[in-house]
Amino acid sequence: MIGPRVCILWVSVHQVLTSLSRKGLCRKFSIGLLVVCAGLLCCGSVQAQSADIHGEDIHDAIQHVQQRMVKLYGAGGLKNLAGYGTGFLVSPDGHIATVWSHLLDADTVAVVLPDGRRMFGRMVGTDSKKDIAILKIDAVDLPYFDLSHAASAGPGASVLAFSNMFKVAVGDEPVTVTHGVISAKTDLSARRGRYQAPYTGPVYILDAVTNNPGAEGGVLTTYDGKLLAMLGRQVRSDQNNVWLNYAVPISELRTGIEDIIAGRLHRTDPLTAGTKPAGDGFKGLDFGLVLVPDVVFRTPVYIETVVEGSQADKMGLKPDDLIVFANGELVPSIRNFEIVLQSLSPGDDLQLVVRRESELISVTFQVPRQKR
Amino acid sequence: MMANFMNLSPCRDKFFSLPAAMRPCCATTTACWRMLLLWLIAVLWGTGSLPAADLQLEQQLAIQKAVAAADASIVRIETVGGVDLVGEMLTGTGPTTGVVVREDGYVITSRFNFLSNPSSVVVTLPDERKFAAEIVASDMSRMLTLLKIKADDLVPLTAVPKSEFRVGQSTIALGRTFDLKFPNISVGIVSALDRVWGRALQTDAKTSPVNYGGALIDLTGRCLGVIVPLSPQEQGETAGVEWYDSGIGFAVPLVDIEAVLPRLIAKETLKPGLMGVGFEDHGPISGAAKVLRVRPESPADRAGILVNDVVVEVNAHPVAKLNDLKHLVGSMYAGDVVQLSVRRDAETLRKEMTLTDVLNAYQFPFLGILPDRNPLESGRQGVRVRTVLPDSPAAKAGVKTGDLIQKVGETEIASAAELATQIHRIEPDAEAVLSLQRDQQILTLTAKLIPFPSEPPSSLERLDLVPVETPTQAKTGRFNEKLPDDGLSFWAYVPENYQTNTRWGLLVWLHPPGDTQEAESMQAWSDVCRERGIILLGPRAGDVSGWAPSQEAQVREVISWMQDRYQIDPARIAVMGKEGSGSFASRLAFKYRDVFRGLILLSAPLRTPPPDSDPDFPFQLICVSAANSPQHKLMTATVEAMRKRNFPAWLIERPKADESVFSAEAVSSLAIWLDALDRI
Repeated sequence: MIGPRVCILWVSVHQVLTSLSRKGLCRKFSIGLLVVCAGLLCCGSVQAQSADIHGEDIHDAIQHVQQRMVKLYGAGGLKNLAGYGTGFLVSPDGHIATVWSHLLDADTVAVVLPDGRRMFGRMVGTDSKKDIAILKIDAVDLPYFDLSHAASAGPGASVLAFSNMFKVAVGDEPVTVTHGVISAKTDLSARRGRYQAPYTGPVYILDAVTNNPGAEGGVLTTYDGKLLAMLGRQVRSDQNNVWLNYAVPISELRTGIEDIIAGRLHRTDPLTAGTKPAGDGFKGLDFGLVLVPDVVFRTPVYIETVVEGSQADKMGLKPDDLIVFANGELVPSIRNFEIVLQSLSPGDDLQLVVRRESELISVTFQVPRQKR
Repeated sequence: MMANFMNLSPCRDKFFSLPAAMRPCCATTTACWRMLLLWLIAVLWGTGSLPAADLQLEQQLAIQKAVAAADASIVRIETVGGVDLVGEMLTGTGPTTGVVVREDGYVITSRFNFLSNPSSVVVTLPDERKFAAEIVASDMSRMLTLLKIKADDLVPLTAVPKSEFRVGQSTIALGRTFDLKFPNISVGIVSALDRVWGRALQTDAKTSPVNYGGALIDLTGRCLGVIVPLSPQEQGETAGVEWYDSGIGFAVPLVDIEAVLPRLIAKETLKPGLMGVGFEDHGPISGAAKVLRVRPESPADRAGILVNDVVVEVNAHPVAKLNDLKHLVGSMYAGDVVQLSVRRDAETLRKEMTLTDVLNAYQFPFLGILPDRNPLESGRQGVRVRTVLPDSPAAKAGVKTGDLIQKVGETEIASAAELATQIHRIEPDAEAVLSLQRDQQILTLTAKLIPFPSEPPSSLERLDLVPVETPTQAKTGRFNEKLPDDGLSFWAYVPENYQTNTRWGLLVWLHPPGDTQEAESMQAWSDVCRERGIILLGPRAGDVSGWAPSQEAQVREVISWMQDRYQIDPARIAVMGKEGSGSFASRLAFKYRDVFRGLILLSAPLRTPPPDSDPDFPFQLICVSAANSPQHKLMTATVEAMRKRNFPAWLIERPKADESVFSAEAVSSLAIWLDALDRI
């Protein structure tokens, strides 16, 4: 990069000096050319500089995010529940968003700002479905994340995660930054022991180690510091029992956060207790199916007999057929199949994929108008 | 060069042919044009090296492009039915992943996905077509399973040849368990090649049930290998799963899988290949591959390999040390033909053998003596014979009580452990030449060894301990203890006649769930402990529901605690389980083969498959069962199963169930068994 610049400079200066002694158009032309050359040189320099100090860009992005992160200290510290966590500022009035965790069971939650100031935060609202809580501290004019500028990304995107995992950062030290890649985007279905994670919406599954004590409530951003998601709890996948590193996209949380800040309350939890299925409670018999007895923990959904003249009979289902998919979802056991049937309503379609020897056969039932 | 640039005379002529108004300047026109030209060249040169694009973005795009190239070959596998617990691991119900390996419907995946023994397997392609799949065959060495679906337009992945593998190259681990549209990805590098004895490459991309059975690809979208859980230390079904997401992941190279694909398609189950040879193991820094044992009827035996041969070449690869041999043979299958070169004395012999999948269980030889546990007089070396068991090879050879065995063959022995090691190197029907000292005379006797009998001695004189001048400082009698840091609490009984100049047996009593039965145990065992030199250890489970698998390590800690404070004989450590605690006791005994010599089961049949007889770790079983109890048949079957594997196993039959926790007769028989646990 040095070579051409020196060359242009030398040549231009040489020629300008020789032509400056001329008059008129020639002089103007030379000066114009010199100005253009100088301009291009500067451009080239700027471009060169930005390439050489690429590290500076990410540093700026990280600083930008760090100024909006807070460290939380609250209830916990026994057994496996950490007494510390992370949050991020979401309004100019000191509202902080974080995961609605055991941390907030304390009467007071200590909030440590990026400049090291320690304040007490009080809870102003929660959304149990989204698993978030909003705290407020008495501070104004703090830098905050504008949720309307949040970004979204897909699998393979490089990301940065910010959190105070293991409470490594103390006092006014900035929270920890780690890097990773978005592994997948899917709906969350997870638990920890007997505790079922309440949020079941879309999440980013991360190829990054964010599933650590203290990371809940941290943020996930792009490499240039744009907010993507909030880091989630330490939970295991329902499907294969592995610990998940996940983050909830801001697009899912934004409305909830803004409503809480604005004081708009709306009930998200059902008024009635218990898990009453939404549908009308159909059974296999309503379609003419008699299934094998449900004896083991995961009894496969084998058909024992088919009622003569019923829908199932007309569809051509036979004894020993194995029902594998119902409405696109795998049914690993009779228990799961019963749950699917219970949530059907009259007029719905019930699409079954059935295995007979080595063939898969698809049949679609019409859910009858009324139960027997 | 600059001088030439200044002389653009042809241009000058062209230039002057232009109309006057268009000429930018006068006499120095050529100079202006020259400047312009130079400027143009320089700018182009300057901008030719582009401002460095956002490196991060480029990497991201490269990853996404590689994933897109491999996408069509990654399929989702779902299973229906099956058990929910394999060993101690909960099996998931979620989907798993597979890799298309041939376009006519063959899909390879990890065997991990079928441990639950499902009743039905369904494969879903990225284009959402679903197929019923049948399991064709498994590779038990690399934990892979081959499936077949009825499709003939599948897209297999291109395999990367091994010559292109580089430690440090980028890898992407793909699975299809979260979303059907996009594979889930994890990014890393190749950490090492030829891991797990040559079977797999190692990556630090996250591997877990989320991508077991999926593909590990490089940045060109070609497949390096298929992701499986493996462990260099264990061989079980779930070995290596505990390392998920740890930064240590394994993938079996696709080129290796393609090499054995015809055998799998022909429904052959591939198993690790065994030679039937035992080597002197000096640990990780191993010496030459010198043969220590040859298993009878094994491929090595049939090929004519003898003890003390040194293996120097395997399949034209030189073998300088034992680890080289393990790496070369460790990746081979049963049925593979191996060409060996062994050095015997001054010659090098070539041998060929076909590896097998199963060897005859190792059989311990039996001499028939009990070593004296009292210390020898100063200046003496050897093993003093405490008792010669009746009708044993030693008895027939003329060995008598009080003899001091000093040499076996040409090797001098200084302890009972060394005597055992030397005897165990001899075949169960070969001869042992003993050199012993009796009343100032040196005698040489030859004993023809027999296979180790199952029946323990029916009666045994108690050992008279040589008294020691200074009594011990250690705690004796019954006492309670608790290990720090959430360790187990336990009670122990150290006989009052404990002295430090001999070593004592240790009986680890694992009480059945609910009741620690401390008082009854003390009452039944304290006398025999004093007589037979046994320390009784009673860990407490703490939970009323019984013992948890996580407590295995804690019990081991308690034993270590005792070993630190008391002189425990490593040849006489046994664990006892009763009814509900039987399965925990047996799992503990099989897990810590280097600790436990014996297992006592009281009315508790074996529920886990027994291990293989190991020449380095002798092991004996004794069971007590009431003839009229419902488990009696199972207890008999347990003893039979262990005997079949060449373990000495014995059943004490009681006429009916004992009212008390321990019956006096059973306890005295067990005590004799414990006293004789170190018989050689």
